[in-house]
Amino acid sequence: MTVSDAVILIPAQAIEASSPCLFWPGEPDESLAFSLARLGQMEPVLVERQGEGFSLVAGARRLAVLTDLGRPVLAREVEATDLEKGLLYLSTNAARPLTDGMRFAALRYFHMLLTESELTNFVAPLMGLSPQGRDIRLLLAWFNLPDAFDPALMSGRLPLAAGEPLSRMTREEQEAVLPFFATLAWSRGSAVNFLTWILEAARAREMSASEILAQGGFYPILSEEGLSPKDAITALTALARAARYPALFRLETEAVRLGREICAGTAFRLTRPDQFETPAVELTVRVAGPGPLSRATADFQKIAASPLWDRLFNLAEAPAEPEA
Amino acid sequence: MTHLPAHLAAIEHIYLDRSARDEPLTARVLDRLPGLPLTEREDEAGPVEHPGTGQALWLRRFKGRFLRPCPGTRIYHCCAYQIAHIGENCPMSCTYCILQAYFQDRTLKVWTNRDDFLEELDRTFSEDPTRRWRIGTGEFTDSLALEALTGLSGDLVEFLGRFPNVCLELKSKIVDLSWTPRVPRPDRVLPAWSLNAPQIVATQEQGTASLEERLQAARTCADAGFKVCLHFDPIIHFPGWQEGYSRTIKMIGDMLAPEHVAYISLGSFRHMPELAGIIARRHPQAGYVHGEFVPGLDGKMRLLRPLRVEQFTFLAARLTALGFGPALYFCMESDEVWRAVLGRTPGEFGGLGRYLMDRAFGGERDSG
Repeated sequence: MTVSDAVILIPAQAIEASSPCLFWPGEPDESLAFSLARLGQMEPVLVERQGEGFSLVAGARRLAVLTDLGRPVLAREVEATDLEKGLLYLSTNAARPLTDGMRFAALRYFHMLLTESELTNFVAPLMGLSPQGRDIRLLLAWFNLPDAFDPALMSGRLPLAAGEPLSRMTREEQEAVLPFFATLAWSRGSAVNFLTWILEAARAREMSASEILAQGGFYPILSEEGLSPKDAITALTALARAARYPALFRLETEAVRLGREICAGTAFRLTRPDQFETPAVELTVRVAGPGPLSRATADFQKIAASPLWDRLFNLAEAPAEPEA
Repeated sequence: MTHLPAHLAAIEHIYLDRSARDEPLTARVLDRLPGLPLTEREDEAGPVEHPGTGQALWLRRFKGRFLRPCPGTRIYHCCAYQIAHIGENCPMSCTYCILQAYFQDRTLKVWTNRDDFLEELDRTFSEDPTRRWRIGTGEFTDSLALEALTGLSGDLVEFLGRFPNVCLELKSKIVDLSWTPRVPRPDRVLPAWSLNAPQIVATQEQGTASLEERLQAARTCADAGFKVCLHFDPIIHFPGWQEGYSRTIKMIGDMLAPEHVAYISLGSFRHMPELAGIIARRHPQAGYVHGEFVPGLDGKMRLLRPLRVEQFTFLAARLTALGFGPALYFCMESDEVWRAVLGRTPGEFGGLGRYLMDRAFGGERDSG
């Protein structure tokens, strides 16, 4: 690889900025635009000669601003292999805050040029990842998923950790869950729970995840009018949990309903601490003085007289209802 | 060379602690496994780390107490038997096996200091001849899986002939009746087999005997004057479990009569939380591990109580219809479950341990 010492001045239009080595494209931020407009270009971009013109190797955001400003571009010429061009781009962008999606985009470029061992031991540390860490393992495992998941990861809608449950799914199951990541932006916890619960519900019933999704009413939520993305994710996650723990979910729902009815109009809160392993319930109230204590005592009497206690205590005593 | 049963075929290497070299049991095992590579090692060399893909057999002396109580908790009703500790690990590969969480490796460990073992038993059982004992060797290993190599159960039943106050249970998933001719008192030995639904035996219990073979062996023992024990443990919640367990119970009814059976345990699959991950990783076909498990009062994961009660009720009704009702008990269950399924709790009949002791001793009431 050679990088010329000389700095040349090139018209912005003469530089083609579509090389695959520019794997982290992005809009220039305001401070860069302000700096280039007021102070001028201090760092040259890197280009390689391509026919009559040039191909950009590093400096895409500077080039974009200078093109908008109608100014020529200071550049240094390089002669490099594809691998070297990728490394040049990586090193000139090393200071940027990296997301999992950006790391994956870089690995996708280098994946064509290096072995997995080289990616792990050479490229990963350049992106702040430990070769022994979980993230590089998950990133490399992502290559086994259909390409259709890549945009969701690179845009940040689908967290990297989701790759673990996704990798345990069949191709058909992976395609079945794909629509849930087309527009919704998932947190790590919600995505992992959603996928894990769907997958485990399927394995427990000797069905496919696709069947669980189709039978469980998941897809209509994606097109439900008036549902915010956050509410849609909450609804999907709740449905997935209900699919994973159907009997427990039914008991919990009924226990919460009865508890609310029993405690209605009081400051008491009722919970089942033993996950229905025993009939026990816990009643809690917070008081901060003689007045509230007196009211809580009266509330307790009222609660104790509720006719719903028998139903609550016997909720888990009967054998489980067959699943609907 | 002794013809080895199929479940021992994976043993490919023997490790021998130097202090175990001159033990008679070591000589017996080596005689029955000629030609296998043998590595002698210092006693202090640490755990065996066998590099091969097959199984390793480690012959060593055991320095702890051989007889110990079953590690049940007080929160659930324990059967209260005593473990006679003869070795660790098992050559079969059941996907649900708790030993995967107990032990870090799959090395088969055989304690070679048999004389120390029998001396400890002698001291304990002689101390008060009126005190009855119910002991078993099937807690940390299968009671009979290594019998073809060690002959230890044969030694044990012969030795226990001197102790009419002791009843020994030999719990297994294979068939090896080589020890039976050495039993002086068949009424003090309980051959026992774990049973499950046919689909579970076929898909989750690799290397074990078929249900038919187990029940045929039980019948052979019953005909020879033994009372047998049956263990539905772990009962697995899987699609089609009703049909599966019905088939097994029908097979029991075809092979055994109530008078042949000392007791039948019902135990739902339960596990330490870390075992679920081990099972999912090692045995992806084990879909049951994704059932509705919640933390029990003892910290182990248990199937949601109404689902357990549903399964127990189903099995208990069918076994009771065949006359096996009085033999039934639950392994590690609460009063709530006992009452819901059998309409009684152990406290109402003097405690589970005492009840099983009476059943083990053929209905003789404990005078103590």
